Amino acid sequence: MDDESIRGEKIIMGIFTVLPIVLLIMILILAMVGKGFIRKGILSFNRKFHFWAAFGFIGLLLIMTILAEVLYPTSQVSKAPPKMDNHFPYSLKAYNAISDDVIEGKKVDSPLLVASRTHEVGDQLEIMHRGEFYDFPMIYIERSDTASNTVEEYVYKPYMFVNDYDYTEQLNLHLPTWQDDTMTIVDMVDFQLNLVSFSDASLFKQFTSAGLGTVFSGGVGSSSASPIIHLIVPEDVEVIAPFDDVMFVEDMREEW
Amino acid sequence: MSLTRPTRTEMINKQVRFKLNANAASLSILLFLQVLAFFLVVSSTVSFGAGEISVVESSTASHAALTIFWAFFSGISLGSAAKWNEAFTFVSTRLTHHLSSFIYMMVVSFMASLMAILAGPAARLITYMRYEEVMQSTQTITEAPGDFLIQFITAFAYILMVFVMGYTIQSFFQANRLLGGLYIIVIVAFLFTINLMLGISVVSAIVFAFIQETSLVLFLLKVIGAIILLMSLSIWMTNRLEVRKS
Repeated sequence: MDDESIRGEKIIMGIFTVLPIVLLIMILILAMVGKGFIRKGILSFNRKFHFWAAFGFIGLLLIMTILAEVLYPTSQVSKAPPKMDNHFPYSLKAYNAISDDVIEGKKVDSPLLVASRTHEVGDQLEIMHRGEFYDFPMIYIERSDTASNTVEEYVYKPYMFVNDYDYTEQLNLHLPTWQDDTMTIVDMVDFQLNLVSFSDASLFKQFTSAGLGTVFSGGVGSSSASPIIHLIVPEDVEVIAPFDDVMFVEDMREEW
Repeated sequence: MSLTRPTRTEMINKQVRFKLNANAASLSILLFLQVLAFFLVVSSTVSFGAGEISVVESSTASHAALTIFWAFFSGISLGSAAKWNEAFTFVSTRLTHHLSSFIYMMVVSFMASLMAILAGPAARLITYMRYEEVMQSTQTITEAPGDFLIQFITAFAYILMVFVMGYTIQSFFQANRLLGGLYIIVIVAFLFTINLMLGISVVSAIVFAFIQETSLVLFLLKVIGAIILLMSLSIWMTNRLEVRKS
C-alpha cells in the first residue's frame, strides 16, 4: 500500500469514527430547527400524518421482512467461503501435502496448483526477488539427471484463513517472470477481501439461541503461508540464488 | 357542575386517547431515527501484508441504541410541566394521569419495539442485496421463529423500562425543580460513596442485573419490579403537586 492510500484509509476510518457523533449533532440541530419551524407555522403536520407515517413505516418493514424471508430463508449463503470446522482444514492439509510429496519424490497432485510451465535456460539459472519479505515464496529445487536445459516450474498457492473461513480460493498469485536465464519474483501474493457480516442487535438477542457476539466481535485475524515454487532443474544448470529460502530437495531428503 | 360522574376507566381511556394524539409527533421522531439507523453501518479496512481485508459489519445495534435513546427522552418529555398541565384539561386525578401515561408508554413502546425488531430482517435484506457474501450470526425467522418472538419481548421490556425511567426522572423535577435536582444529586453522591467505600459500583450492578440475566422469566420479573418501583416513585413524588400550574 502506498502512502496515499494509507492516508485515504485513515481519513475514511476517521470519518466512520466521528460519523455517529456528527449525526447525533445533526439530529439535535434538525430537531431544534424543526421545532422552531413548527412553532412559527412554517412547517405543520397534523396528527393523522404522524400515525399514518408510523403505520406506513411498520407496513414497509413487514413487507421487507417477508421479502427477506422469501429471498434469503437461511443464514447460510451459498456464495460464502467454506467455514472451517473442527477437523483439519482441507486447504491446510493440501498445502502441507505439497512439501511432503516433493520431498518423498511423489507426483504432486494438488488442488493448490496454479501453474505448471517449462522454460529454456542456458548454463545457469538465476533466481531474483524484488518485493516485501512476506511475499517471498518457498522454493524447492529438485535436480533432474536429464541432459537438457529445460526447467520445469510448478507454482502452488498457499492457504488463507480469515477467522473461521477458508479464503484460499480468493487468493491471487502473480507468477514469476522468466527472462533469459533469470526468474524474477515480484509481489506474488495479492488479495482483496471484502468481509461482510450481519447481526441483530446484541441487546435484544440476549435470550436467543444465537448468542450475543457478532461474526467479527473478536476482531479479524488471518493465517496464511508462503506460496510454493517447485523447480525441476537439470543437473548441469548452475543455480544462483542469493537467499537462504531456496531449498534443495536432495539435501532435504538426506536430512529426512 | 357536571351531572354525570365518569368512572376511572372512562377517564383513563379518554386520557390515553388524548395523550396518543398530543404526542403523535414523537412517532415521527422515532421513524426518523429508525431510518437514520439504516445508514449507520460500521466498516473498516485492515491491511495484511500483501493484501487488504475490508470489513463491513452491518447490524441493528444502532436501531436498538437510537430507540432506547428516543424512549428515554420521550419519557422525559411526557413527564414535563407542559404535559402535566395538558393532562388536567380533562376530568382527571393524579392517579389516572399516571395510569394513562403508563398505558400510553406501553402502546408507544409496543410500536417502537415492533419497528426496532422488524428493522432486523429489513437491514438483512438490504445487506444481502448490496453485498454478495454475507456472514450471519443471527438465524432467520424461518429458522428460529421463537427467537424472533423472544427478541420482540426483550425489546419491549427494555424500551418500556427506559421510557418509564425518563418519566420518573422528570417527575422528580416536576415535584420541585430545586428539590428534584437535589434528590438526584443525593442519589448520585450516595452511589459514588458506596463505590468509594465498599468498591461496589451500584449502577454497574443494576445494569448487569438486566443485561447479564440468562433467564427470560427472571429478566421479565426484574423489569416488572423496576417499572412498579419507578412508577410508584413518580406517583409518590407528584402526589402533592398542583393539578394545574398557571
